[in-house]
Amino acid sequence: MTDISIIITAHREGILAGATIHSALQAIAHAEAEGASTECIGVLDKTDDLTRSIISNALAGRATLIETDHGDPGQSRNSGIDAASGRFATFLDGDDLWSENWLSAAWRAASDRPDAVWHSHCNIVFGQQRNLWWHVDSEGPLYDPDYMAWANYWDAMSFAATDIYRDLPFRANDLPAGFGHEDWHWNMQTLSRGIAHKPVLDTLHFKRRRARSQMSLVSKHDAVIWPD
Amino acid sequence: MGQLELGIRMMKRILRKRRLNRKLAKSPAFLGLGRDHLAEHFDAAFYTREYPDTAAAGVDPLTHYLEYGWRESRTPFAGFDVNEYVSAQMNGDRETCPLAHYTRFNSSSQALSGDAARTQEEKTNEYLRWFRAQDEKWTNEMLTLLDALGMETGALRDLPLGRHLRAMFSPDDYRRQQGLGPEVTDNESFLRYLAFGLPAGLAPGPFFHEATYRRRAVEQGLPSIGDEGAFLHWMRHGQPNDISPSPLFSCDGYLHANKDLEAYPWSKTSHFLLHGIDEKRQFRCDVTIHHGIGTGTPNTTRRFISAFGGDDAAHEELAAMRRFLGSARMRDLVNKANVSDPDVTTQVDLPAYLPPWHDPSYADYRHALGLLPEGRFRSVVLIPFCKVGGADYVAGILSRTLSDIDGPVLVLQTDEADWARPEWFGDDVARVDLSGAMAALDEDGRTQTLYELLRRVRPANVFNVNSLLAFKTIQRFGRQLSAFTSLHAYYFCADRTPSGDEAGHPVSNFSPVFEHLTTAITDSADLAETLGRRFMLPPDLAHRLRPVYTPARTDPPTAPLVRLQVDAAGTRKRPVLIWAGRFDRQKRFDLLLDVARALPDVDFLCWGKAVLDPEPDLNALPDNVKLHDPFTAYHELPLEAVDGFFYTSDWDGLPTILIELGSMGMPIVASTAGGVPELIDETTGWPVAVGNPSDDYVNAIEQMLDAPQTRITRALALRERVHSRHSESSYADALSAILKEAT
Repeated sequence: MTDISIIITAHREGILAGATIHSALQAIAHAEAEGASTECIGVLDKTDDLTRSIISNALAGRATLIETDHGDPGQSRNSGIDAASGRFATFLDGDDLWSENWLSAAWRAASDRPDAVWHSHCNIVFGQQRNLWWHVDSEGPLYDPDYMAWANYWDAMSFAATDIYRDLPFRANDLPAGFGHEDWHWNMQTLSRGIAHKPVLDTLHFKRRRARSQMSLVSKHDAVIWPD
Repeated sequence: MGQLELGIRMMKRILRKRRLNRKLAKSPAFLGLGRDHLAEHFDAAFYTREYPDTAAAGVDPLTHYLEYGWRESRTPFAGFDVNEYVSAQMNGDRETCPLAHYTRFNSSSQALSGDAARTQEEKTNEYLRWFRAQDEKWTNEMLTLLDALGMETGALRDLPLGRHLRAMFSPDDYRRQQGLGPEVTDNESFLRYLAFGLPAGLAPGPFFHEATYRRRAVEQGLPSIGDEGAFLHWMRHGQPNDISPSPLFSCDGYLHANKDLEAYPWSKTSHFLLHGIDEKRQFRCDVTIHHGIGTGTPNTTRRFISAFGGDDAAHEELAAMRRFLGSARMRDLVNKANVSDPDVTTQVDLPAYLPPWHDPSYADYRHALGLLPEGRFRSVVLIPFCKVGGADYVAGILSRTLSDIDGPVLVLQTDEADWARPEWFGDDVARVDLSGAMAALDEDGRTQTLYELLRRVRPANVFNVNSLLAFKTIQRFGRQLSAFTSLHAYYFCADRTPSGDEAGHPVSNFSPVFEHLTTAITDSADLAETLGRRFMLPPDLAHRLRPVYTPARTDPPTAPLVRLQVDAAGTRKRPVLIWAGRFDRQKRFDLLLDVARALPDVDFLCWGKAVLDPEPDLNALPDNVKLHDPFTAYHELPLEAVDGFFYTSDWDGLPTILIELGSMGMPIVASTAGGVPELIDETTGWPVAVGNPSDDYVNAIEQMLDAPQTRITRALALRERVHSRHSESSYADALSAILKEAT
């Protein structure tokens, strides 16, 4: 059985997806050097020619590419999980980057605690904003359950047993109805089932902030998390 | 304990006096400093010489400076160049008193010019003398208080007491440790700590972490900690050497975040405790802390220390972050990512956020959340405030009825703090005043907070009775709210602008929210019909418009008023009518005066005053008009000694005064404003069409006065109409039907 299914979800990131793949390949090489077996799945959701060209070229011969028409980030991840055969799965958004040690360190952590969802120790935000966000341990004292009702602690670039993602797929956003934040909702759902969210120490994700992102679309609609 | 209580009372008196003296310190312009502090650098003789106008005015020089002088850029002492100081040391901030800034920070040689300039060493020494003098003064005050308590202070007199003790003290922790209730105030708790806890070596709060201090004491080569205990050792040795006793605070991190303190000549730890916390300064490289802006929102730094100061697991998680941040490992990973995309900066000295401590809006939300009572609620009733208006009364009867027929009710007060008539809501209804917590937030913050609070409470039904914030929240989040609760809004008659245009919630806040409402409740059928007609609502949507008649609030007399009035008519020399209302355009007091002039043989007793509009000229009233201040209860009116009630409004809903008087059996002549015809028609009174001339009112009054038997017949018919339509049971039935359809 493959150890890690790497699911890269892309929309219309254009050539930025090349930098994303570059970083993913560094992390894959690092993990494989430590003995992990990997498979790579690219999910192209309502994509454009440029993004398709960049990804298919950068992952030539190394990935299964799936084209979808969801127009929804959570459904794209679900499609990736449908195609995954690994014991663990992890997501990478098409314009973000991983630190080189992400896959190997998360694989070790998840192997010890396969009942948990794992996140980077911190996210470094770059692009139109520049800052750094720590990810807390939901089993630790820094976690405040009340805050989860107000805002999200962790993004969707997580690492967990594939069965967790299969059992609890992401719910589709419904922006016209005012509901978005599929990652926040998924975190709430997993927490409510007793699944911990934990940081993998000394790992980084690099999150690109740019105009017309999914987040800005959600904000434009005054979207909130699903109430259930 | 009698002596202790006496001492505590003395302490309270002294503290009250000090509080008054420090009132000044509450103004942000003075950076928390009181008059006593500011006086230390103020030269009254110089100020009087320099500004003879103040002497001529006979004003105390310092009072003048604090009230006016600093805003006028006047100089508080010789050699202080105000403009240069503000420019160089205060970033041009003209909202802060320069003397206060100088007194607090005292850091600028640029502030002084010419002969007044002093060396840095002199200034440092002066500051240290001042700092120690403040500690000594504080210590003496505390010891005096303890003496007043009859407590042995010998052990304390040997300790280097200082104001940092008060800054480190956590009343909540102390009360918890000692099993004290919330009735023991923060000041009393501190006094008890000084009297009993400190001599025993007890630390004042979570800022002192014993294991951390023990480790740092060894690292710094301090004398070994013997029997006296770690905290007393810190007071003697750690504090003077500026050794932080908390893993949450380091002097290096504080200086890194506050470059302006590099020249600060004394303990950075003390600066943080005495000033930095209240000044909301950052103190860690790895965690940025932001503070809420709501009234009453606790200081986030203090909350951070309270939450994690004594928590070893939190220290470990934070230490892991601190170790990783800026480490060689992190830099290596960032550099490799930079190869993939050079837009990933290799500069990792970035603002660092640890949710939720970065989020000022969460601090405010959390404070508001803490105001909510425990338990589940079937309904939430949103009100702007409770003054004495008709809508406030309706909110009360709505809340009580919901509580009776459907279960627990929570009233959320959103816009203002007035709570004038708690009896209207009863004891079974929970109430929370959110207006203070919401006041400082912008509209987005307030609507999001209210949405999240409602999501948290998750009632089956939400009723809005005139809360503007609720209307705005439904406008923004109505789609989402209606996914988990049924939304209902009350509408009362529209107001009118001076130009005659309709205004108010039925105009501004009906169409923007109607699509999200399960029910739009009106207090009259007229308003429901008006709204339905205006927006051409088809039957299925018009069905959401539901007139619900407000119940009468007073118990009617057993005998109808009209019978008593007719029986006693012979005892009155002249017919008497009552008019009551605001002297505002809407109520048409001018019409009453025209009618009174046309009926000089009838007396008009009037109760009211101008509220919304300028008061009319009351100097040339007809002799048969007598004015009284507004009444507060119906029994204040001579209801049995008159012949009827006269009502003249140009627009209205279904006025409660007509409901109440109708319930008592009062004959009424009334304009046909708004919903009035639903109550007063040719069978229940003497209606006069709105806009008709005063002659028509005169005729109606004459008809009423000339026919005692008809008066009895119509007043009894009105009484019966009110009893059947405006009863508490009919109101409960109407609400029950709405709730049933909402499920």
